[in-house]
Amino acid sequence: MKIDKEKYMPWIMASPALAIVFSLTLYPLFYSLYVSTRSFELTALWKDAFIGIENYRRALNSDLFFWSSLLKTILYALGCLSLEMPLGLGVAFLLNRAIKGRRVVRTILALPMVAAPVAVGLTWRYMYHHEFGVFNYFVRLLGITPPGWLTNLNFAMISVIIFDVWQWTPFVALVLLAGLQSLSPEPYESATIYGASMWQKFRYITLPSIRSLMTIVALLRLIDLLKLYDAVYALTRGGPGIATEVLTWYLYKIGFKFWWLGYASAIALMFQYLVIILSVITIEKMAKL
Amino acid sequence: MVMVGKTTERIVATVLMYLAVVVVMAATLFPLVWMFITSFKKETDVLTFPPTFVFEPTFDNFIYAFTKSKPPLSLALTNSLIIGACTVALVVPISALAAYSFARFNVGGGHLQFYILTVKMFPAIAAIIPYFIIFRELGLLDHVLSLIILNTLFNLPFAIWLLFGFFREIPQDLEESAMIEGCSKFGAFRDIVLPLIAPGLAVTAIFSTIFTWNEFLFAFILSRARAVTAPVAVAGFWTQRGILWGPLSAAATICIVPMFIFALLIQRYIVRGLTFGAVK
Amino acid sequence: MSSERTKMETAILALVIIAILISAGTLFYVMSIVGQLTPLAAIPEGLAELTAAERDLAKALADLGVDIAAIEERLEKVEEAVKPPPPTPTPPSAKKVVWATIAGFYSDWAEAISKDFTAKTGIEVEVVDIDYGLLYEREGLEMAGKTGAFDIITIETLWLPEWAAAGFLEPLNDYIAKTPAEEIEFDDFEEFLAMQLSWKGNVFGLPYYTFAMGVFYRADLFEDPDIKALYYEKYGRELRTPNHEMDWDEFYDIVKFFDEDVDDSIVPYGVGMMAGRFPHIADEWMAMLWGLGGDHFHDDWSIAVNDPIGVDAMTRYVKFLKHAPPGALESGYDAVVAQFQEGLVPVTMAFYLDQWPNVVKTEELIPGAKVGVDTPVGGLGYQGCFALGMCADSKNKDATWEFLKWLAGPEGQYSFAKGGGSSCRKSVLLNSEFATAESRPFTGHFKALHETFELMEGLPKPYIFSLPEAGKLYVEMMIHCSLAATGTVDPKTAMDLLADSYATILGWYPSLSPPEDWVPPE
Repeated sequence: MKIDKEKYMPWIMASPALAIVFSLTLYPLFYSLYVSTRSFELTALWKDAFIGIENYRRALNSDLFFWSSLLKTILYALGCLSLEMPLGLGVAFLLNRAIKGRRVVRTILALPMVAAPVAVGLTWRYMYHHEFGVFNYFVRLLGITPPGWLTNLNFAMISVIIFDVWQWTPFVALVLLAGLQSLSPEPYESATIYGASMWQKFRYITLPSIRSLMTIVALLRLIDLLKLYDAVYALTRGGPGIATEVLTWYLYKIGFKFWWLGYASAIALMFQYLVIILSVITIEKMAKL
Repeated sequence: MVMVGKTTERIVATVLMYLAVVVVMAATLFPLVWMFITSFKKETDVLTFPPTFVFEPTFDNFIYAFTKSKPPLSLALTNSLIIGACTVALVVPISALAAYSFARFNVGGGHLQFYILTVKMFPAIAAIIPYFIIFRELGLLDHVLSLIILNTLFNLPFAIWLLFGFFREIPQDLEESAMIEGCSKFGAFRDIVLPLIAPGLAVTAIFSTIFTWNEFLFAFILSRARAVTAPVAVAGFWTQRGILWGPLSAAATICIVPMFIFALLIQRYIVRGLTFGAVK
Repeated sequence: MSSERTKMETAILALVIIAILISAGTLFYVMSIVGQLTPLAAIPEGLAELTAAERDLAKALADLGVDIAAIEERLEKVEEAVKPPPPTPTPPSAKKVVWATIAGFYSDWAEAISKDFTAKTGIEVEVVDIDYGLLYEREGLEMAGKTGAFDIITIETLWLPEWAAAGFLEPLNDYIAKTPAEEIEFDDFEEFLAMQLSWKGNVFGLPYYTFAMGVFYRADLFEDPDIKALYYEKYGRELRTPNHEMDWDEFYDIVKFFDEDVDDSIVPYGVGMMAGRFPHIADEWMAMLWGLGGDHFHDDWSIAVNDPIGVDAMTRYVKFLKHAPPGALESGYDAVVAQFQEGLVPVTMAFYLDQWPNVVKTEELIPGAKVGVDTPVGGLGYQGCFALGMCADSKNKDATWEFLKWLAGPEGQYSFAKGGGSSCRKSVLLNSEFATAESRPFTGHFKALHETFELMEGLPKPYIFSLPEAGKLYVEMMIHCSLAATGTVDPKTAMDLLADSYATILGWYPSLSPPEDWVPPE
């Protein structure tokens, strides 16, 4: 008996996780696949019928809003990522020095992530407000015409990005800080002796060492950014117009306002596939850094 | 001459560095401080043109948030704490075991691990109906247990991924020598490796807690009156007067406090813990 | 050794965390109980009800040495003696009713009336509050999932056809027929609202709270002699206060006037508009569309939104926006109320009259301000309401009906109005008690509200309210109005796109009512 247990121990160890994951994800997956081939509308069940790939075809061929929301999602994700990664790295470097009060700083940095997104999002919405918001108050003090943070078509996306950067750069910063702090000082000392510049030290010593960590962080952020919902809900509800209507928001309308679960499932499955592809690409790209 | 130049350089650098830190802190804190201030404002002071900085503070918002909000904020906070505690209690051991089996024994050849990651990629919106059906059949709608189960599921990918990294950092020699001396696989795991990644466990615990605490969509869908969580209660301040910014801010401030304390206690482990998993 | 210490540390840390969580949880439990026991500082019962005159009288009597308290006591005893015994409540078939309502919308009244009901009939009521923005999804999900969780739900008029067609709501005709007339007084409901709540001949909901639209304006500015003179000078006409007799052209002149000609220190902008991406923008646009004589559909059910009238309505809307504060594009109704209170705007577009208790506070905030309320420009607005309906899979239908008719009945609506709610009953709106000066801060809009409904009497039901797809069309309206308002596309394109999306929604999964023999699945 003991031998058997030993042999299968790895599987036994993995079994609780696998049990939970499989038991709870297989049904939704198959349900979505099944429903995506039907004209299923939750509040009008008499319309249910098999329609094959019609849902997929419709989304790809005739749905302008689908493509526009997809585009926005990708723009948004890339926009945030391209800001959060360098900023996070910068802050990590900053905090890597022996600064007094490091602990307090680190705790404070964690606060934006810890606050309930809905509440914080609404607070930002109110800060962004053209008349009543505090940002425009300061802008007016400087004598500049206040921008429409959430009312200007071009600005709106930027405002949402700023919010997300505020909230999640600390995550990147803290993780990368940990990475930096574990680096041993020896390579740096030898490099200084050989007269290497700061940039060279960064490029050839630091960067390779924390590359895998940066990949993990970038990947996790990317997946979360593509699934963005809370920020849009709190700040713009997809507006102005459809300037910030990202895919999850569009999906929400289709699935919960229109109750077209068939169509929604089709889009969701296509989206998941897209995320998988993007994740793989990210991993490749980061490996080349 | 050179020495003086160097010292000045260093002083300037230090000053700039501290300045940068102050700027970062200010940017991080400003919105939160604004929210904190708003929770003390009277209703008519909130949406003003121009914004009110000096005003008569009042505690009414906090009283309102606790006594007059429906669903009751205290219930929501308690639920969130229960769900958070139970989720973490489940996630940490389960993910540790699974991550170990992936790291050391490559269970499933990497495919199972990738499948677990793709769980995270499926848009929640499309998954709501199936989960609604599942929990309805189980009779667990509006019950804390359903949220515990779902949150455990949602945190497992992140936890397994993270701990996988930590386990890979630790050289296998210790376990091998232990096993030569007759230790079982599980014994090696429990007695040798686990203590070494205790900080990693702490990190997983705190991030799982944070994500569970902030989870809104499923908490809203699967709860009615009894199993409401903090984010759902905070969102409930939209009234016929409009958004009740005062009580909303008060409620949000209250909700941050437990997490803040938690973060304060654990923060040194975050850095120390992530250290181990990081570099390769 | 160090691993042992780390293990110890971790264990202690874990224990500390668990201890904190438990104690915090207990603390919060205690607070929740305490919270229910300690009401907010309540004004002693009865004292608030006395008017100033009555207080003076009481004081005068007290000065004369009359012991009012003793007299009252004796009066009470007499009343007790002659009071008929309370009727034994008919034991209902089930003991509990669950009411899903909008969080924060008169929740005090909801709690109070539920307690009254329980005291009277012994049926327990559980009030579940749901955030308005998520109400539709929540209730829809529960009913589609046949969980039987809710017995009474709050319905917005646009959602009713969909839910009625899907079999989620119980038809109420039989219940109404069984009920004695004076308990329900069906004709007392404002006709237009009651009409929207029936579908295919069956009544599915009883109205209880209306957000019908009218217009708010700063009466002090409209009466100011300098401003009036300036207006006469610029436009050659008398400055009239907005109401249904005014058309949109004249209203536009007034708005433009206040924005451009009246000094910014008095009022910087011309009109308050809810042009954010909320359902409200659709309501404002519909008010214009209907006010100009247009509609969503023609008599033959072909789509009419991109007819010249529809495009004209949208074009005018965009023109009005030029004279609204720039923040209008992110504003909902609460922001417009705030704009009004801050003196940024002198008048609103078609606006929800139920916001009167909030808007009238302007008189306290701005010295000399007087708020006027009247029927909407063009005479028509999105006159809708929230209604109460019975879920088809409720397990306590009889008990639910008892509560339903109590809430929507004359008594319930009266207490609703006393709390400041905008009732749907003619008798309540016309009740002279609510037309007094003391009641004005809460019910000063009742007269205008009733007139708004009077204007709609005899009008046929707008087509859109008969469609099960109404809810979806409403969402599309909101999005496309926002597209035009923000300038993403011009108004003509926006309306064309809207017409396209109407066609898609109505045509894709074919818009049919369920076949005669269709039975909802178990």
